[in-house]
Amino acid sequence: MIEPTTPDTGLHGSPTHGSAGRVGRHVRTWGSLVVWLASMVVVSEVRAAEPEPTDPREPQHPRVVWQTDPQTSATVVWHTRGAGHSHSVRFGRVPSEEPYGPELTQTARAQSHAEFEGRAHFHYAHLQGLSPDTTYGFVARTDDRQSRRWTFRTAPEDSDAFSLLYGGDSRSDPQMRRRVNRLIRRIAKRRDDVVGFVHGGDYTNLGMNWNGWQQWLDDHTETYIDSRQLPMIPARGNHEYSRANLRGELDNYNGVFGLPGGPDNDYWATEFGHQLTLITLDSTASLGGRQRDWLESTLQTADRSTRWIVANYHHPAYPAVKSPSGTRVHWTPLFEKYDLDLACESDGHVLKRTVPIRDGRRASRSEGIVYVGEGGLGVPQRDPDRSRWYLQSPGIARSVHHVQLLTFRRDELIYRAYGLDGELLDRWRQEPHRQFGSTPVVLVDARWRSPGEIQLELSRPVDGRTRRRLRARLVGTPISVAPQPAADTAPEEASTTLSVNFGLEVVGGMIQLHGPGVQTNAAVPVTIDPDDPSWWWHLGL
Amino acid sequence: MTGSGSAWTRAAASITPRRVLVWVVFIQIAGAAAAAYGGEIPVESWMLYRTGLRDPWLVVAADAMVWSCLAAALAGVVGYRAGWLWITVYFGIDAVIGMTVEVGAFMELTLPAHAVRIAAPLALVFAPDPDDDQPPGGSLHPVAIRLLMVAAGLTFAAHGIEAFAAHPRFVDYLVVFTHDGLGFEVAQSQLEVALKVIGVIDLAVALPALLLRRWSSVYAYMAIWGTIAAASRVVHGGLNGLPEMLIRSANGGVAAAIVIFLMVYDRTDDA
Repeated sequence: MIEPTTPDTGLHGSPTHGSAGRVGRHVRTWGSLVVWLASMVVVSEVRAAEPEPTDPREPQHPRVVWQTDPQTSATVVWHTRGAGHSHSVRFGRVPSEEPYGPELTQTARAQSHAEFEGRAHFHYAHLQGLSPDTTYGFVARTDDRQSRRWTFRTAPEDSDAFSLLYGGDSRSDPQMRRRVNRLIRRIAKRRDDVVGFVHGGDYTNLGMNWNGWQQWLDDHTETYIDSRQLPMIPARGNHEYSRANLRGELDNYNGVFGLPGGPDNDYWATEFGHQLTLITLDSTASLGGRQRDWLESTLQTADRSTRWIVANYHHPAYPAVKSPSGTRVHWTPLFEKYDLDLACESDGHVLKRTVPIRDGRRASRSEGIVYVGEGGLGVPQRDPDRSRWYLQSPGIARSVHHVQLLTFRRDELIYRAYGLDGELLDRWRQEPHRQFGSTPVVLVDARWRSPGEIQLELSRPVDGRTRRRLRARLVGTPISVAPQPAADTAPEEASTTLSVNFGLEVVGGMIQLHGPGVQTNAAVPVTIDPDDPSWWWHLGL
Repeated sequence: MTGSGSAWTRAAASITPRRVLVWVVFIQIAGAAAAAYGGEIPVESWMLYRTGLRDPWLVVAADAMVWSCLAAALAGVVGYRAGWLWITVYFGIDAVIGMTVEVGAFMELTLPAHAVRIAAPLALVFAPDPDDDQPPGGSLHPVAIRLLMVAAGLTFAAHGIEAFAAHPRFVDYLVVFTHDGLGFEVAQSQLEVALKVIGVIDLAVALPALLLRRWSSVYAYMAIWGTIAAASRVVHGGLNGLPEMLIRSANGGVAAAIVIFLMVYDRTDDA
C-alpha cells in the first residue's frame, strides 16, 4: 500500500494552520464573492411596480393582434386590474384613420383569463368578417368602463403591395426600446403601405414578471400613429418562458397577445391572401415533434398557394453571435425543401443578413435562403462574429439597434433595415423562389359562394411534371355579375382582380383569366343555374 | 492494487477517483472554452445586461474567465488547491446566472442540474483521506465523496423532473436519435411517454444518492446514462453540440469517480 505523498490532512487538520485553514479561508473568501454576485443578480431583477389605474375595471392598453387571416379577422386584447363581469369590443368601419367616424355598430364578446398571480385579467375578442384593406375603429369595454377609440387597418387585397415591420428582442433596455418604438412610428407614418408589426420574441427580461409586461405595453404605445395601431404578429422567445406554458396553461405571453396557451399553440400561419404566408414558429417548444410535422404540412400548402413564404422564430439557425440552435437541425431542411423566401430570426442582438444558403453552403440568390435578424428592438447590441462564412459579403453583420421593413410586391421582396435615426443600414432584394403565378394556370372549376365571393379551382404544373390544384378565394369587391337566366345574358364585361393577381373577366357567358403566366386560352364557358340557391357556377374546360 | 505486473492492471489501477475528476474538470473547461469561442457563455450575458460592459471587452472578459479556469486547473494539478476552488466558483456563478439571466425552460432547476459540474472541482479542493491506503493522488476525502454523491443525486433529480415534464429539448434529442440513429420515426406523444419513464428512472436512482447510499450499481447506471445524455448533444447538433457535451462531462464522470471509489477504495460496511 502506498501512503499519500501529501502531508495535508484536509479538514481533519488544525483550523488555523496547514491546508485546512487555507481551505477554510478560501471557502470564506470565495463564498462571500458568490453571495455578493448572487445578490447583485437578484437585486438587479427587482422592478418598481407601475402605477395602476384607480378603477380596477379600466381597460388597459387595447391592442390588435393578427393570427391566421389578417384580411378578414383580428383579435383585440386588453387587460384590467380587476376581473369585471362583462367584456366586449365595439367596432365598425371608419372612413379613414380618424378615430371618430360612424358609430361602431358591431360587438364582439371577449374571453378572459387571469394572470397567474391575479394582478391582471386578460380579455380578448376575435373580430371576424372584416373587409380587406379597411380601417376599423374599436373600443374595448369592461362593464361600464371603456377605452378610448383606436383604429387599425386590415391587410390589403391580394393584388396590392404591402410592407411589414419586423424586429426582435425589445428587452433589457426600456429607454432604447422606446427610441426604437418611435422609429417604428415614424416609418409607419411615412409609409402608408406598412400594415403590421412582426415581433421575433424576447419582449421583456422575464415573461413571468407582469411588471415587465406592463412597462413593455406602456412603451409599445409609442409605436401608435395617433389613434392608429399596427396589428402585431408575435412569436415566443426564451424570455417568455413560463412553467404554466409547459403545463399547457395560459401564461402572460398568451394573455398579452390573446393567444391560446400550451406548447403546441404558439405556432401558426398568417395568410395574407395568396400574396404571403408568414409562418410564426415557437423555437422554445419541441422543434422536431408535432411542430415540425405541422411546419411541413403548412409549407406544403403554402408552396402551392402563396407567392411568398416567410418564417419568423426566435432562435437562429445561422446566428451571428451564439452557436446555432436546433432550428438548423429540424427546420432548415424543410425551409430548403419548400423554398422558403426569407427566415427572420432573433436572439443574437445584432443586425445580420446572411448570404443565400442551401445545404449548409453559400448558394445563388435564386436558390439560397437568406436569414435576417437578429434582434435590435432595444436590447444591448453585441459584436457579431464576422468571420462566420455565412456573414461574408454580400451578407452583413453589425452591432446596431434597428428595425427591419419587409415589402412584398408581386415580383420582388425588398428587405430594408433602419437605424435609430431612420438611416438605411441594409437593403436586399430578391425574387420569389417559387414560380407561383408565372407558370401556365388552367381554370378547372369555379364556385360562386355568395355575392362578392367566388372560389376558383386552378391547376398549374409543379416541377414540370405533376399538376396540382390550388384554391383561390376572391373576397372583397363584388363581381358585378348577377345570376342570369342564361349564360348569354350575362353582363357584357365585369372584371376584378383575383387574389392571385390574375385578371378575371366574365364576358358573354365565358369566364376568362388573364395576366402574367396565365394561358390565354384559359377561358371556360359559364353555365348559370338560377335555381341553385348557393349560386354555384359549374364550369367545364 | 499495485501488485500485478500486467500493464492493463497497472493502467486500471491508475484510474483513481481523483484522476477521473481531474479529467472531468479539464474536459468541462475545454467545453466552456469551446462554448466561449463558438458563441456566448452565460457569464458574458450577465456582464452585458448587469454591468454595462460592452464588446470587445465582453469577449475579452469571457475569454479571460475561461483561460483563468484552465490556468487554475493546471495549478490544481500541481498542488494549489485554490485553483480547484476558483473553478468551483466559476461553475457556481455559471449556474446562478443560468437561474436568473439565461432564461429558458426549467431555468429554476439550473443549480441542481449543474451540481456535478460544481462538485467535481470542489471535491478536488479537499485533500485525500489521510487514513486511506492509496496511490499518490488517488482517493478522495470522505467529505468529498459525500459531496459528489449528493451532487450526482441532485443532477439526476433535476434531469428526472425535466424528463418527466417532457423538456422540449429532450424530445428533440429523442426525435433525432430515433430517426437518424434507429432509422424510424416515433410520434412525439410516444417520445413523451418514453421521457416519463426516463424521468422516473432518473428520480429513482437520484434518491439513494441523495441519501448517501453506497450502491455502486446506482452510480454505474448514472455514469453510463450521464455519458449517453451528454453525448446526445452531439448526436443532435453534430459538432455544434460538442461544447455542450464536453461541459456535461461531469454528468457521467462524477458518478464514474464514485463507482471507482466504492469498488476499489471504500471500506465502509454499507458498500
